[in-house]
Amino acid sequence: MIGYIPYIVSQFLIPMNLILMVVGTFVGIVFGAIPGLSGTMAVMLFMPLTYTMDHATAIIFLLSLWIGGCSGAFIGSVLLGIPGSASAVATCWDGHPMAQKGQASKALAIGMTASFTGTFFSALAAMLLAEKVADFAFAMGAWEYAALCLVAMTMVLAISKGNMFKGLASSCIGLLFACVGYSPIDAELRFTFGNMYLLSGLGMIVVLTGIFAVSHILVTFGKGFSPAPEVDGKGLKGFGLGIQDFKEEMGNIIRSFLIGLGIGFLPGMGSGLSNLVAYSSAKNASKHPEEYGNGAAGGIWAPEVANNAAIGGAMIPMAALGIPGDSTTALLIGALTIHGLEMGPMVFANSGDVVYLMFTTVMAVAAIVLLMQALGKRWFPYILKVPSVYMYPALLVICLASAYVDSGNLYKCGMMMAFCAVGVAMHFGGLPTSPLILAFILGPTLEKNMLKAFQYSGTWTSFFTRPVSGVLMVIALICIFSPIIRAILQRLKGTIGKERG
Amino acid sequence: MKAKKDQITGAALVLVGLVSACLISQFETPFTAAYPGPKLLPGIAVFGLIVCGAGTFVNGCRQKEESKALMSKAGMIRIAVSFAVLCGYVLAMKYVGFVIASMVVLYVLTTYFSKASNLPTKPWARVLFSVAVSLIVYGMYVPLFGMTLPGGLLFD
Repeated sequence: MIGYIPYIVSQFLIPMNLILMVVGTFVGIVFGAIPGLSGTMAVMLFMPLTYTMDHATAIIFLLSLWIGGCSGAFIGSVLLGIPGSASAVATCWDGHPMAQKGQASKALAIGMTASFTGTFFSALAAMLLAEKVADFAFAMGAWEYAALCLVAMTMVLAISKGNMFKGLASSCIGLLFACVGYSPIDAELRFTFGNMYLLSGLGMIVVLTGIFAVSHILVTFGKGFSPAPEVDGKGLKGFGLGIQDFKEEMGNIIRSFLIGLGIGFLPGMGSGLSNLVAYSSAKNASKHPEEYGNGAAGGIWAPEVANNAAIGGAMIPMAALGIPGDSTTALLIGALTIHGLEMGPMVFANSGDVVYLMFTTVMAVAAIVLLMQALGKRWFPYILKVPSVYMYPALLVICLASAYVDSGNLYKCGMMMAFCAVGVAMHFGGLPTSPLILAFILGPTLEKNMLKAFQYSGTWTSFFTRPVSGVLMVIALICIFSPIIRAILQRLKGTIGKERG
Repeated sequence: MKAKKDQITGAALVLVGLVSACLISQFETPFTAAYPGPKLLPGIAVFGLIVCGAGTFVNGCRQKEESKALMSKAGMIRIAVSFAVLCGYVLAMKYVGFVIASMVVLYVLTTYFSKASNLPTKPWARVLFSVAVSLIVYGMYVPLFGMTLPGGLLFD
């Protein structure tokens, strides 16, 4: 690890890398802060820009967008009471009431310090742990990888609040999209209809930007834009937080950090869940739980530390196993593959310098985010006032430019519009898009490993007879059948309650 | 009797599953228990789609009340018009190139978004915005990062 320091320092000293780090962080914060946009969308839109960059510059830029987006999400939660993304839902519950009490500066300071703490130390933990996990991963075969992919896809479903059938259907659509083009191992053409543009598959940018970004913008417009919100920017001066505030919440911070790191590490989970779990555990552990929901400082520390700690947690399976922790890391895995970096246990032997550059970049960006947010706090209300009437058309043009740049032909722009129609239809049908993203990106890895496992063993039972893959398969099955299991357990509880009553 | 939203969604999922199943059956590599081949993953996806589609349909039948409409008819028209404008934009890029097509489509979209949302904007501001964004995006992709954007058949 120490041997890579000269390489990492040399990359940070390249002016273009530094400029892109700052620009990426700023753009990420803006995308994170504005409700409806997200760091994931920023990574998706700007990914094609990195195609002509060398891989280190591309990684620095994409990670800056991601970290900026994750850290900026609390701004909307605190100032508007509307979360910038799902990762900052719990921050609203105390952040906005605190701002309404005239302590917006303190609420923002807690948000930015908590974001820094979670991101910086989780990246440090990832740096220390990822290689150990990779060593363990060498013992894993095709069965375990296939089972891990299944777990990643099904865990998203188990935690989704909506209809399980719809979540699963969304995953299945993602898997079908992933099947277009040549099949792995047998190289048979599937779903191409003699079209040469489909031979190499649908393309990540075209599918995901069409379904996730373009359709989202059109649906938002369909529902109607609201006027620019009124935000009280008075009193946003100074840092607004002292050492004592930090000390008082130390237990909460450590607990939330561990929750975020652990949940981030689980394949398919991410900051969307960690902030909710950390908030409820902070409330349960608090001596004054009645203050939660009315502007308690702990209610901002907990979700913000946890959702940012999930970043480092998600980076461990991403680097060591090539399995994404959430939809953004799934995108990053795809982007890194384009740059010739295959994530997984071998990455430490083949491109260790780049992996450690990733972790260090996250830590550096966390510091830049803190600095930017501390210096630019008084301008936060202006970010939230960007008029939708101008912002969304500009984003639509960037989406279509990305599709063209990704493939070099207008056919893919047309395909993106087709996927936009799919996204709108999914929205009307109530199908969530996150399971589709994970399934589409994990599909090829899942299929390749499943087929390899069949080649080695010649039977499907081997997925259950090998201990690690057996456990993972059982977890995946539990996740799929969790609504039925929950219903049975509730009925049993009800029956026992009646008998006792 | 009016079909419920989940019934339509479920039926559509089953239909997609069945059509995909027909396509999968045409793959040449045989499906065996020892080695399922290229039919395995799409087969799993199709099975899932049909089961989930049927489940969603049944859920829809069991719903006592029709779920609230997601958006008004006017909202749907707004989506359809924007979609058509974007499709036109893709076609226009082919003939007049990225810069001119973007300037026009940005002006059209900002005007339409502004009027449809009752959020007034000034025409000169929309023109300025359309020109500036088109040139900035072009400058970012082409001279700065060395990529290509459509030049337009009329100018080639």
